[in-house]
Amino acid sequence: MAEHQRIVEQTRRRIGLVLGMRTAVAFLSGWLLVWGTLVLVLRAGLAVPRVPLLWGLAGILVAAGVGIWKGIRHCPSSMTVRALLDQHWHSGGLLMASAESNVAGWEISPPAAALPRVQWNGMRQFGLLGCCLLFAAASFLVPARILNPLHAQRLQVAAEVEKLAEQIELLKEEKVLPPERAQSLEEALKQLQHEAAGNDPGKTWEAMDHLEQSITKASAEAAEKSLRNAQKSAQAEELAAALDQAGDRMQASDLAAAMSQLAMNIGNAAEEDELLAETLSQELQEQLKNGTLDQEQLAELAKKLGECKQCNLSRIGKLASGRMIDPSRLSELNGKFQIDPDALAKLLCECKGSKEVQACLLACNKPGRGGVTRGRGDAAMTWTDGSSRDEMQFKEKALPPGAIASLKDARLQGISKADPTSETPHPVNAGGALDAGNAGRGSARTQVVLPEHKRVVQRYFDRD
Amino acid sequence: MTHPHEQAPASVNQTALLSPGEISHATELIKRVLQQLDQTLLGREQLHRLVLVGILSRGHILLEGLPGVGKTALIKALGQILKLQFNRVQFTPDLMPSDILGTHLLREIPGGGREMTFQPGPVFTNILLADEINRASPKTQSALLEAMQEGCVTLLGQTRELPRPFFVLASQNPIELEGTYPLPEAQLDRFLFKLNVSDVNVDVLTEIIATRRRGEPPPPAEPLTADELLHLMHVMEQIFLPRPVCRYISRLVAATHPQAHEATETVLSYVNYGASPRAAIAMAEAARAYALLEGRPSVGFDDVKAVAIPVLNHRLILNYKARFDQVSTLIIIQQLLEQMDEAGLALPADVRIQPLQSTAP
Repeated sequence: MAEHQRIVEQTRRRIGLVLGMRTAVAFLSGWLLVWGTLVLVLRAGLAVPRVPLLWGLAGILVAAGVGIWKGIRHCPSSMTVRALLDQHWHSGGLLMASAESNVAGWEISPPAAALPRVQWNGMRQFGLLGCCLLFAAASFLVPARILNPLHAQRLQVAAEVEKLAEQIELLKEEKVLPPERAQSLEEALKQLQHEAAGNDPGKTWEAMDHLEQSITKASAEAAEKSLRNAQKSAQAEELAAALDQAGDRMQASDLAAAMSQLAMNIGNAAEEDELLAETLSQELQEQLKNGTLDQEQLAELAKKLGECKQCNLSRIGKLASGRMIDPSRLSELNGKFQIDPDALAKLLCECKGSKEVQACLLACNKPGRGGVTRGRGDAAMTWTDGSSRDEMQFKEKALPPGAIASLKDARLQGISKADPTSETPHPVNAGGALDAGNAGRGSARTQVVLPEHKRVVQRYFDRD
Repeated sequence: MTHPHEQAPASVNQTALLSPGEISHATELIKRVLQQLDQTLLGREQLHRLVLVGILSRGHILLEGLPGVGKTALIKALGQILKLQFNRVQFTPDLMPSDILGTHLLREIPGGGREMTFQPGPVFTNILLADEINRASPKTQSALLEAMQEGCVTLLGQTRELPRPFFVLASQNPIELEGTYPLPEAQLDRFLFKLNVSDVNVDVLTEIIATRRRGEPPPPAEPLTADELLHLMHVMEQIFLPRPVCRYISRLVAATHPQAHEATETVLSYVNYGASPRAAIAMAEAARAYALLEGRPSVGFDDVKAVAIPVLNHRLILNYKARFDQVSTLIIIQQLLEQMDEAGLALPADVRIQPLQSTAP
């Protein structure tokens, strides 16, 4: 390669390098500005943590690469650089002509100082780059509490919201809540989570208490309903099983009366229990109504009634495990719905005539533990020892929404099991019929009546 | 690094530059002409060079100067040195086109018949001196348009070729403008150069008075032969014009228009109409001739700059603001030449190519 050609290429490379650097600095500044702005927006608006935003560092390499590429693309052509050097060397067009024609016989001799110096006055661009760099660094270093004070004071209710969401989901699965009601509750929960602000937690907690109360109320109602259904199913199951056992030993009229009572019991139960209505086949219901169930069908009926009972008990179990009803209620149910068809079969066999059968079965449906093994409902009851006051537990109950606000200025003085006493003396009635009475002393001073008096309970049952 | 706009250079072996021997021979001839011109008219070296550049470019020249500064003497001397036929026409307001171009005369022919015969005018020559051209009417001035551009004359539907080479060297007086007709732009554009013939200094005047009786210049001692003139024209044809120089000329001419993106501030403020493409062609030819004068086989940027002012100064039409601010075309062209980057690097403002540095390791 000729000397002048080498210098042309060298000059061109220098110009390309300077232009590439210049464009790269401009692109870097632009990217740092955009990146810093994005970091600020994401941190302030969406509370994105810092670490994922560091991926923007890769953009620096990309911006620099693109900048250098674009700068080099704007590098002047070889012919233009030749023209530049031709002018600088005062070659009179020979250097330019050497690229296009044969210059044999003519000597192109570069001067001793042949290579031009490419100077870039990049103070402004570097200053701008520095500013952008500082901006990007500041966007990372500025504390989150300054960027987003609202988010920093957000009330952390995620655990509570999750618990309530699970409960709503359970109620939806168990068909306790209709889908529309469940959806409205879920939306209210989402809104509550979104608007939970730390600067006013009272509102959030009140709203959550209200929501929880709604769920608990619905759960309690569902549990009660399931309990009733289970009880009815158990009674019908017991009667069906007893008839299955004693049907061949009973007279036809007695059996018909018992069947009629069974059909009535199942009908009553099916009115409230959709599950029972769905479980019993149409044919079975028809024959039950006609009183023409055979042994095998009675056994099948008893089995299905048992399944319905278990379903209702299972629902109560789920509600209890989800802490939507008092779990102690579940332990109360242990053995409560155990049926004893043998005793009832024996009793039915002993009954003389259909009227006695009906009376016997009606007595069985009365409240009270009863049971044929211990006599009828009006038989003498046996009681265990009276309950102790020390083992008493207060039932948890959510305060009404306005209650918290009213307790705002309240101060804790101490904890006591006794009734609260007022320091201010009660005004004494000055004469009159109610003088020295307890009237107007306030509800907090009412005595708690404990169920420790057997006679009171007995009087309750004796009212019939 | 390949530039998207870079054009592939033509094959190196495709064209060859003139050899140093050919150039030196032509340069010797030119020096001889110039030396004789300088002896004839004292103190006009630069003017002589530009006139010779115009002749070598086969262009027409408009000389502007006060009476008695040697315009006619210069043209006469040129005709004698180049051994070309020379006619002079003094333009007056009553001069008619036929007085220049020629006319048809009705003549009797042997045998008793009559016919129209053409009597050629003074334009049928090699060098036509149109003295005080601005004193003729526009109609007469326009009679030269075809002759200057096409090198021929059409009369009564018949076109007649003018002798080759054909040059119009016109002169006009910048004073005494009463009763004159400014040259139309179309005709001005046909002049390659407009040269100002200024006064000479005291030393030159002293030399003229001391060496010349009645101011008569000595006759040329060694005029050019026809072959030598043809050789000069032939060499001139082979002067190489590099593409960047072509581009520089194009940018320069384009920048005289206010609409051009490279137009300078003065162009934007004072120019109504810029130079025509004919100006670019004229500048390229003149730059070729200037390079030959310098003894180079190719045209450089400096050659273009040397001829830019005489090529452009009569082609820019200025507005009234320029007259009001007393801005001449000379100032505008000089600023254009100073501000325009010859190579066309189009570098950003903050990137500069500084003075050269040594490549020695």
